[in-house]
Amino acid sequence: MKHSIRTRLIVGTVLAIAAVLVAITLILSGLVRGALRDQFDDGLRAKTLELAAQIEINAGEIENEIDPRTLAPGEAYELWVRDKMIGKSDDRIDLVAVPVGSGFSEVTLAGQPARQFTLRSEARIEGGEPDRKVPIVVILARTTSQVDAAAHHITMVVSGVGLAGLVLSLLVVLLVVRLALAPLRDLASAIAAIRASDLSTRLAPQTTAVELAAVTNRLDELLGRLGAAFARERDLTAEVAHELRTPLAGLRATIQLALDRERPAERYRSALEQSLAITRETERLVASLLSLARLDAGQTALHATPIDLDQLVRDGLDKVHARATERGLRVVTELEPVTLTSDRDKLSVVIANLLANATDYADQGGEIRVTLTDSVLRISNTGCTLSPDQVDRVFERFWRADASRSPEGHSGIGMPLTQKLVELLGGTIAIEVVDGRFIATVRLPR
Amino acid sequence: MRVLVVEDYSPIRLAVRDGLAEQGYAVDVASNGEDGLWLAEQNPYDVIVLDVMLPKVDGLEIVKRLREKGSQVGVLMLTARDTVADRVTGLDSGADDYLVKPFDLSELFARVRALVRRGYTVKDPVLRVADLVIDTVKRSVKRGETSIAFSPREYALLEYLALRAGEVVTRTEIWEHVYDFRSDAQSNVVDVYVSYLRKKLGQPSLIHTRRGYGYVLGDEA
Repeated sequence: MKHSIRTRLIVGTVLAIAAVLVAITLILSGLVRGALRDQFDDGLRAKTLELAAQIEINAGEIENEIDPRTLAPGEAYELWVRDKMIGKSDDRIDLVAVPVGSGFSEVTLAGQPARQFTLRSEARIEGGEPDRKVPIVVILARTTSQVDAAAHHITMVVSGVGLAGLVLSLLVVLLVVRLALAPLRDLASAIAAIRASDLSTRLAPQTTAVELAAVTNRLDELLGRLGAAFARERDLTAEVAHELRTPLAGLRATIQLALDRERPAERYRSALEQSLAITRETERLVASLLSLARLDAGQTALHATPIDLDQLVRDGLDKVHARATERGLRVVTELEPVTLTSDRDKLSVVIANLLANATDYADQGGEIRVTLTDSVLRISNTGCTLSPDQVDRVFERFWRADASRSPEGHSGIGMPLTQKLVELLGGTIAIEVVDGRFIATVRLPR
Repeated sequence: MRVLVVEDYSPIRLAVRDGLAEQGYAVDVASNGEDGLWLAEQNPYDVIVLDVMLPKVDGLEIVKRLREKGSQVGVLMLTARDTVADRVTGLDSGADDYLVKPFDLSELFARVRALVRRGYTVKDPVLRVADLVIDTVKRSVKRGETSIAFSPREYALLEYLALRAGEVVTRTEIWEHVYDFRSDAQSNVVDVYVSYLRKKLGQPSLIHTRRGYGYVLGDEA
């Protein structure tokens, strides 16, 4: 069940106050009732004693000396001497003494609730033997309607005051809760005002409640990270757009120029060949971007098979052979036979990317060195002019040392893609530059 | 008119070069910023078509350095970045105009023509000298009511003379503005083309020789 903090606070507080008020009311009315009863009982006992004092027994003659006129309305009595009823106020009413001793008991008097006091005493017999005493019982009953009415009245007054207090405290609680929750409300509206398009908003300065600081600080951190991630995403998207626009511009210019006028067939052919080359280059770029996106999304599955790594490296070298020859590069290889279980296709992409980089970025007439020992593949090339700062950035997407497309075909996503793939294969890749030699070291799990 | 194209992406570089050449421009190309800057400093180009992202020296830097040295050349920036900030940066670094990739070749030609006119403080794309009317968009020439056909090189020479109508134009200037590095270098080629023009334009002659200086296009001066 979800309840608002406001409801919880109000219900909880009001219930607590109500419980206290009810308890106070009960205790007060109980005390008042007790006091009233004590007073009633004192009066009842005093009157009974008074009645008993009126009794005189002269020489064995027992007389009912109780004057009925001394009785107030709602009172009744019985007088017993030596277990014999001598007199009573009303023949229709029978009173029953308490079994032993003197004491109070509850009775009904003409259908009305009443209390009676039974007095067991002794009456002195005057005139007879000196100091002879006769046991007597005097019972006086009195209806409690008056005292009950007073107690009821007081209970009503106390309850009324309690109820008014409850209503008043409800209002106070509503106000206090409203004030106390103001920072939460402000925070909620501040959060509601945040738009995905503008994540520069920070919440911390807008709230004064210390209790919320932990929450707002965390939210601010989260906003900061989100903002940075969004900015990175925007930058990447802009880079992707830029990378795709350049070949598109080339394609458009090439085709427009060809169509500009009537041309010999070989001109059209060369324009088409050029367009095809641009299309292939763009396809490779899109494929790399897609692989990278899939790797980012964790959607790439591995298909591990036993591989002769040295042979895979030789296959990769065959593919860059023409380019290396064209650039006058010396290719030095030291390949030990290495067999391991890995994903052949992904490992081929890693090797192809590193070899393409080495072939294109080596200085004209320089050297490429490829060594393989114990599942550690090292591919290096001479003629590297990268500074240590720049080396740290080679795995950044779309980063290129001189912010251009040259050598052509390098869009700045080959290294990030290679790194992702190596990590997916459970290996590591490290880059270092030693004496103008760019060295990529790939360590693969055996 | 002579144009320098600095662009590292070869399909664009070659298409722009060939397209401009077909429009009658003398065109030189460079594939990186260093070569581009050197060429721009050595030759009096009318317009430079300049990519922003270049190896070695980027386009913005090239414009800045050229302007620092007082170059008045018209610069058309090419870029794949199209945010307002990118365009502002490009123009503020000293470029005259800005074109976002991918672009239409015809738009590039029009912008180059506009920059050429601006370089000679001409606004009207139709040049008029005496009874000679040169439409620089259609690249058509009329004298009076008669249309005259010219080869691209002849037209380029005539347009250059017309842009500077009334001024003495030296052979060197003609050579520098009408010919590129791919042209055959023969010392008398300018005189030969001027004589072709004279022949096609007819009488009364509009091209006058200033012996020891050069040529003037216009009414008898």
